[in-house]
Amino acid sequence: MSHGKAVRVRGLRKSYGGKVAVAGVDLDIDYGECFALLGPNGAGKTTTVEILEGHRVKDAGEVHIGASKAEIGIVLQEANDAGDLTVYEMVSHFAGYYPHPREPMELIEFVGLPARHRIRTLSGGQRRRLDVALGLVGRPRLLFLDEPTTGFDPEARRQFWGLIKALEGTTILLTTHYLEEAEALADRVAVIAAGLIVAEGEPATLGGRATAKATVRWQEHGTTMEALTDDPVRYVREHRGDMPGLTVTRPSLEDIYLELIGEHNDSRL
Amino acid sequence: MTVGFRRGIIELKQFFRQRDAVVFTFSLPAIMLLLLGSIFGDRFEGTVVTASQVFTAGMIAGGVASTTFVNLGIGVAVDRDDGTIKRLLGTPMPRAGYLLGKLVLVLVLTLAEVAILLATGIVLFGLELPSDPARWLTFAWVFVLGVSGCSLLGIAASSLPRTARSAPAVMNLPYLVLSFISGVFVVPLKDLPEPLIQIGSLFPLRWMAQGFRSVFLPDVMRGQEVAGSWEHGRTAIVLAAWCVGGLVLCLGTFRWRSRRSG
Repeated sequence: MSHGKAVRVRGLRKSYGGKVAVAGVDLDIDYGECFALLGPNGAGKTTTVEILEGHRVKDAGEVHIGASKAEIGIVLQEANDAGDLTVYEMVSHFAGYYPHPREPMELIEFVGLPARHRIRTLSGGQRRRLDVALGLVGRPRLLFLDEPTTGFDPEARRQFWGLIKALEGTTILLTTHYLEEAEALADRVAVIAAGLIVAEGEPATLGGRATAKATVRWQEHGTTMEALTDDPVRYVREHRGDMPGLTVTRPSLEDIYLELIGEHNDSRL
Repeated sequence: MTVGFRRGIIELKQFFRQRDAVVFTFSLPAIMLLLLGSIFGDRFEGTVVTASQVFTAGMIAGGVASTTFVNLGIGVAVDRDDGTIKRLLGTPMPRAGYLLGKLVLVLVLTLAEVAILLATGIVLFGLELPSDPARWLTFAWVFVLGVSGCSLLGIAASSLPRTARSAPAVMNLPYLVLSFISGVFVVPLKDLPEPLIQIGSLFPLRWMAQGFRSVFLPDVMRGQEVAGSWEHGRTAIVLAAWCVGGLVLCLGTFRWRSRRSG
């Protein structure tokens, strides 16, 4: 635990046959926080996480993981294994690999799965919840969740978020291309595009969101008036006359996100 | 060791719940024996030995090749493709545990396969088990060398199929071809065209089949072999060479991860 961080990454690089996937990523993740790596498909999220998990070899850079192999839980992105085992057989088998595993039945109940069903018969969403159970069975200090809700319908996604929120205290590195997922779960977010971190911060302040100019809108003589200002309170106070239909908006996280990714795409053209 | 044992149990559970694996890997040799043994039941000239008894002895080699080479080639390719290996590598389990589990699976399956084929031969085709301990010693070394060599070749060959879906086809083709030209599906081997015999002789299956015939058939039957003798020395050398060759191939080509995940 040399740096007191759960994850510390400096200058991480990885290419596949000349195509750069990760172009120098730095990350710091504290113990106990949920950190989201947010970015579009192909931005380098999965490559980054797979290097941290030990599933891939980096080309360059420093990676420090403040947890032993037995303290790490990995939720696989697209596993399709062990269809002929029951949920209980699978979870209790994997419990056997860890020194202090969770009680299999309690864990299966926690993720809401039918213990005696064959894995082959589970729905896609149930299958992912099994992956989460297998990631959690060893009581990890550090959990890797790589795009856990891809392909979920909105209701299944919300249920899944509830599951993850209940893991308070566990350090989580989540990758996702769903903005609302990062916003719902993460204490901190890093936006990755074309293999580089382009912004990092709390969801509320990401990309200067809290201090960005606000838009003041109101109705005047039947038309919508609009003004951009650093200080909307002062603007409204100093305005002479009524301001029917007054609204003050700041850019949404989505606006910031699209701008960040867009900027990056533009700079590549 | 405990890990290997636990892996072995879970591998066996999964194997016997997969209908296609049980039918094609495990039952195929027994079905072939039933068919061939029933169709060709004639006595060999000047002996009391029937063709069905000869098939039984040779089919044991076919069964061993199926539960080792074919089974491992498909099994490891599928495990690489469907996340089994990736998931295990993400746990504190030592990597050797996976291979030890496969070893347990292969040993149990192969012994059961041999037992089924022998039972078929004894009950249906009047095969008699030898009482001479020397013959069982021969059985032991042919079995150990054959299982080791074919298992290593199967693990090496698991890198050939591009996807899990193509694995059964990729593994069964060489198995079936070699069964025809190694004295397993067609006996006696010496009646085959010379070039086919020579190709078959390059691989372990022919020598395993010949070795098992020397265990379960009376010595008069060595006249039906290509060289007119059981050739134990040569059998041991070829099988041992394939153990070494298989190990070298495994060390050179084995990948824990599938090609597309780099």
